[in-house]
Amino acid sequence: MAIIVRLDRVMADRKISLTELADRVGITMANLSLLKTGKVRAVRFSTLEALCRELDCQPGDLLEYNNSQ
Amino acid sequence: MNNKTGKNTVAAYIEKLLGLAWYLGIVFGVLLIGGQIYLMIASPAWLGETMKLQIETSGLVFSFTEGFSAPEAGTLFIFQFALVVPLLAMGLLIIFQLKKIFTTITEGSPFSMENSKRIRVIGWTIIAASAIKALLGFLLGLYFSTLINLPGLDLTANIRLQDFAGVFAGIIILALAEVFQHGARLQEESNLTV
Repeated sequence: MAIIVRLDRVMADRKISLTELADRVGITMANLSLLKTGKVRAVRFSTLEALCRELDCQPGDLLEYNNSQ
Repeated sequence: MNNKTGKNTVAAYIEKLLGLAWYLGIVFGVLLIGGQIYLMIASPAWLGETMKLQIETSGLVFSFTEGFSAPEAGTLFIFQFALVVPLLAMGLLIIFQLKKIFTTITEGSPFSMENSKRIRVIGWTIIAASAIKALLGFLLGLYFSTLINLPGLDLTANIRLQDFAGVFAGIIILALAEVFQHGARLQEESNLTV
C-alpha cells in the first residue's frame, strides 16, 4: 500500500511503549501492533484523533504517502 | 452489548441436534444400504419375483388384481436404490454443512468465506436433490403407466412445475450465499480497521 504508517518513529521520539499507548488510546495492544506494522486496511478518525492527542502530533506525522509503492 | 454466542444459545442447541441427526443418518444409511445388499446376496431369487401393485394416497389404497403386468421386485429395487441413496447422501451433506455453520454461529463468527461456500453447497445440493427426485418420479410414473392396462383407465406420466419447487428454494439459498460472501468481505474490512 502506498500509505506508510510512521507510528514507530513518533513513538520512539516520544519514548512511549506500545502497552502504554494502547492503554491511553483505548485500543487493544494487538490492534495497535497491527497498525504499527502497517497491516491494517483502515484507521477510524476516532483512533487517529486519540493517537494525535496522546502523541501530541498531527495526522501527517503518523501517515506518509509514498508514490513509488 | 448482549453477546448471543456460547454454549447456552439456540444456535448451540441446534448444533447439537444436527450432530445427533448426522450420526443417526449415517446409522440409518448403513442399515438401509447394508440390508439391501444383504438381501441381494442372501436371496437373489427374490429380485426376480413379481410383486402386487398398490398405489397409496392418504386415506386410500388402490390395489390392482388384474389388468396389469406385475413389476419385478428387482426393477423396483433399482428405482428405490437410485432415489434413496443419492437423496440420503445429499441429506447428510446438508446436515454436515449446517452443523459447521451453526458451530461458527456459536463461536460468534458466522460471516466468513467458508460459510458462504457451505451455504452455496447446500443450495446446489437442494437443486440437485429436487431435480433427481422429480426426474426419477417421472421415470417411475412412466414405468408404471406401461404396466397398467385397464379398459377406461388412461395413465400418463407427468412432470409438473411444482415438482421442481426445491430448485427455487435452492436458488434462494444461493442468493443467501452471495449475501454471506458480501458479509464476509465487510467482516474482513471491519477486522482490519483499528
